[in-house]
Amino acid sequence: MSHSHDHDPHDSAKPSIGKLAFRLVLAALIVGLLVAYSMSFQVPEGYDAVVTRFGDPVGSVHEAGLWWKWPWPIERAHPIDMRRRHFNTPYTATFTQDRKNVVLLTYVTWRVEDPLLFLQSLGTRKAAELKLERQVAAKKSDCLGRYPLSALVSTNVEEIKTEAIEKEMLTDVAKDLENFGVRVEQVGIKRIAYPEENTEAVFEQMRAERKAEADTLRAEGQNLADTTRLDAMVESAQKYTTAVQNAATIEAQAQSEAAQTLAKVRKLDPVFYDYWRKLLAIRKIGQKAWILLRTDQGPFDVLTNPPPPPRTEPPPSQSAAETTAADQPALSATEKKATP
Amino acid sequence: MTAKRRKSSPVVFEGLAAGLRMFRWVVVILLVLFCFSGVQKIDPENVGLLLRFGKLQGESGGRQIRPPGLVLALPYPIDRVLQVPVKREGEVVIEEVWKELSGTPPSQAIDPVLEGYCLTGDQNMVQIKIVAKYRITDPVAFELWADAQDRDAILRDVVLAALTQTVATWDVDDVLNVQREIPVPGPIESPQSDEGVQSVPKILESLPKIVMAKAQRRLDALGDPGGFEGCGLTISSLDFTEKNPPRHVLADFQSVQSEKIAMDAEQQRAKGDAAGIRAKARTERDAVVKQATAYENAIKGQVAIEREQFERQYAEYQQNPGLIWRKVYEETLEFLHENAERLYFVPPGSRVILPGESQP
Repeated sequence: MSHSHDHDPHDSAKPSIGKLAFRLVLAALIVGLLVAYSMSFQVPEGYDAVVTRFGDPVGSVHEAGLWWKWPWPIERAHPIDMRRRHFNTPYTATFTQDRKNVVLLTYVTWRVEDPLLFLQSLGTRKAAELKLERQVAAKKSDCLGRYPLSALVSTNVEEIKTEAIEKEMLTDVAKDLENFGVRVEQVGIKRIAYPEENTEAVFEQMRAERKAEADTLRAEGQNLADTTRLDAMVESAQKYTTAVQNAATIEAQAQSEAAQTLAKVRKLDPVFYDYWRKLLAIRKIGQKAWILLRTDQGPFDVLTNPPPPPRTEPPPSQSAAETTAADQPALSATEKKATP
Repeated sequence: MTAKRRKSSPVVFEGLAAGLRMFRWVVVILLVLFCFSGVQKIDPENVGLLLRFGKLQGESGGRQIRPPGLVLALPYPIDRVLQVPVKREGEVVIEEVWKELSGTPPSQAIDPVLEGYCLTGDQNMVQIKIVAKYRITDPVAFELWADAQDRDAILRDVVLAALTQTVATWDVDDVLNVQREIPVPGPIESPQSDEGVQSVPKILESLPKIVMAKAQRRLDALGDPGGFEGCGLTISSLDFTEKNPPRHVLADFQSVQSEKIAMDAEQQRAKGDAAGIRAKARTERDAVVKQATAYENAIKGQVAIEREQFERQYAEYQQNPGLIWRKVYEETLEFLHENAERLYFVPPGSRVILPGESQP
């Protein structure tokens, strides 16, 4: 009896049907999510995937998105990065056709083309790079052995064959790697160097070239400076000569014009003009001068033996010249000062 | 003892129940936060790409690109938002073929493994440091072309390959100047200079531009013909921040540089001297011409005066010839009388002894 009155605390803790249903749905959801998680896989953009069943490849996925598979350990998805990958080959010294030792460093850009083949033959990036390293090293030696050093380093662009060498290496390496599901897209020569033991000789050559260049520069500089100065002197002398010639021309022209003008003036009356001009000349030279002259020679003959004035007015010039000596003026003024 | 346990049990259950209730709320809050955890803010310099279960959302082109702002994405692992900095200039520093100049070289040789350099076409060595700048032109291609590490390495190496192969065809001096002059390709009629020498027309080639173009070609060749085109980035510039010969021969190159400077200085001095010579000569030339011009003016003036005087005199003479004839004669005599120091008239055949002169 007393039992019937006893209230079992577990009865009140019993969930209602709604709560129970909620919990069941929640549990189913969680279980469903776990199952979905184990049965699905994502393929991101830039990736492919290979699905294996107990290790046996049963399919490939080439599109990004959510995909289904049986849960592990039945099936397993292997995502394969299909994007470009980069690989640097190590330094390798190689002989060229003309027996020159050269160190080349190359890079390779590659990507997975066949994910299943890649997974089966190489599996990992590291294995693929090891394969690439061996292949590129071998092809590099083969290829460079057919070209002289000037095919890599030369100022004559017609000798340069770097692109052809790269293309040959790419073709050979790509062909080899095709069998491993790998597509080699580019092989590039990114460093060309000499082995350490050769660099000292290169430095010596560089020093000798620089010294020769410095000497040439010094000599050329001095020569150029001297030429500049001499050019200026020669040019100045030439221009001065031209200027003197021009000046002479100006003076000659002026004299010619003056002579023409005076000739025109003289034409008015040559006799009177000559007479007048001589007197003018005497005035010019006679200033502050000691004048010593023969009494029978011009222009001072006009003083000692002046021509006669014309008889008629206006005078015909010719008749003036024939003027008699009787018309000559006396030399009284001169005689005062002149000493015979 | 049992009574005591019976008393304490409800307290424990109540505590547990309260804890569970609190835990439930925490779970609810966490669930709510989880549901909104996919919402992301795209920064102004970026654009976003939304991947749902790894697949890029949007049909193609512009629809795949989310502009700056909020992106309402579902929580991880359903959605993932990639931010691509399209408005920022990316930068890669390439110093594989460069070495600090400070310090003395450890030996007279260079180990190419430890210290990089480029070989020039004339068999010299140079060391160069480049900063390659690029812009993202296609965010989808940029993100899906290669992973970030490989992308940087590819960019670095295509630039390095383009640099190495270009420098291998240039002279060392041109490489250090990062430019050179080359004849214009093709049959072009070359004009004749003043000296009559055929001058070949030349164009200026810039080393950074050539290297940039070659590197871009290499990048573009890596595009995916089946999907997006190109690598989604364009090299915007190559800065040759350092370029020098190896420190083993630096002093020799500097001596050439010093000679060039000295040569330039000597040239400047020579030009100065030449300018002085020309200026002096110009002054002398001008003086000669001015003297001639002055003479011209003087003689013209003199002639004009003489002409005027004669014409005036002649006019008078025409009026009165005898008078004027005598007048000019007398005026001359008067002038000589007044102005001549001495006036001697010597009959022909006379012997003259001037005062102050020693007798023969």
